[in-house]
Amino acid sequence: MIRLNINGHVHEVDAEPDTPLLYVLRDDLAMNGAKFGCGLGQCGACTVIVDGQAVFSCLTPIAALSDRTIRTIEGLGNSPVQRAFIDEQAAQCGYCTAGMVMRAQALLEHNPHPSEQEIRSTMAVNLCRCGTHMRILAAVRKAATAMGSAKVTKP
Amino acid sequence: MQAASKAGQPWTEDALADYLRTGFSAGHGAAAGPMTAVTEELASVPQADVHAMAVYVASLMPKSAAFVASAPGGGGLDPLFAGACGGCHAADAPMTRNGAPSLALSTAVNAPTPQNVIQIMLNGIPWREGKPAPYMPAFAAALTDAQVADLATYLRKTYSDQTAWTIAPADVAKMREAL
Ligand code: FES
Ligand code: FES
Repeated sequence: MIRLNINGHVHEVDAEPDTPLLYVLRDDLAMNGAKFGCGLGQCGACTVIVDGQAVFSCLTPIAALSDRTIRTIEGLGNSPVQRAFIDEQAAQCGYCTAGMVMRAQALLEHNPHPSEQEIRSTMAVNLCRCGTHMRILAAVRKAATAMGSAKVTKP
Repeated sequence: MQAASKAGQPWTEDALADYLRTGFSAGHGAAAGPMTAVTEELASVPQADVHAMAVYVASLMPKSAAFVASAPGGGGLDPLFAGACGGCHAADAPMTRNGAPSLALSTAVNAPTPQNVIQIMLNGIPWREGKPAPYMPAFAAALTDAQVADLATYLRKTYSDQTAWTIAPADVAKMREAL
């Protein structure tokens, strides 16, 4: 049994310690927001937040996660990042969206006023096979404005 | 240079020329960090010139075969390795079937200090826009200092017959600060 703290709740998970967090989220805990794209850290569809930073959950074994704080899109509530993705219509098929939102969320919590270069280099590891990157970047800029002017609240 | 080469496989002129032009050698690993700019430039230099450089560098290296480290023996894989690294680096992972070297041949894993191994685990090898080049995801956010230290120690023990590394989490923290 490995105890995982996800979105503020502790889950006892009966899985092999080398199991990627992504599989546990989707197969054991029915949290299907994070997606499987490549399983190799090459697409970012599986991105979640661990201890405040964006990680590829497909490459993060649960053995690495006891005593750490995991956040997924299911626990985000109504973040300005989600609002901005909706307003900018930054999803086409939506497969990459949860990962994009989580990576942007982690960025803006650390750096509410990122430069264009910081936004681009941070988001570069998440791919959108529908090619909505320009809208995604617009959404991140918009969320930055919203979060930068409001006080960022972390759960 | 002779003494400094800790390669699991001896470098040949052809292997060096490949590495210098493409940033990758199937028997040794990928060029990263400051070496990236060098191999990028050399990609557009006439092949004969790069070959001449390779001939010169190879002439400074030992001719006899260095040891060939064995693949990991029995026993289960470390769960951190299996879950974080195995998808690409385990025996028979798709990447190794596409010509990427076993970690046993990695220059970083066979180096005197764990610096390069820790560095690459933390930072990965970033995408190079529009260029075919080696890539590795960064693990700085996914793994704690203690986990990176354990993993590097495990790699050394499993894939190299050089002296074991003793790595403290504080050593990793120091390299992380430099990120
Ligand atoms: S599924 Fe994790 S990076 Fe692609
Ligand atoms: S919206 Fe389809 S993959 Fe990004």
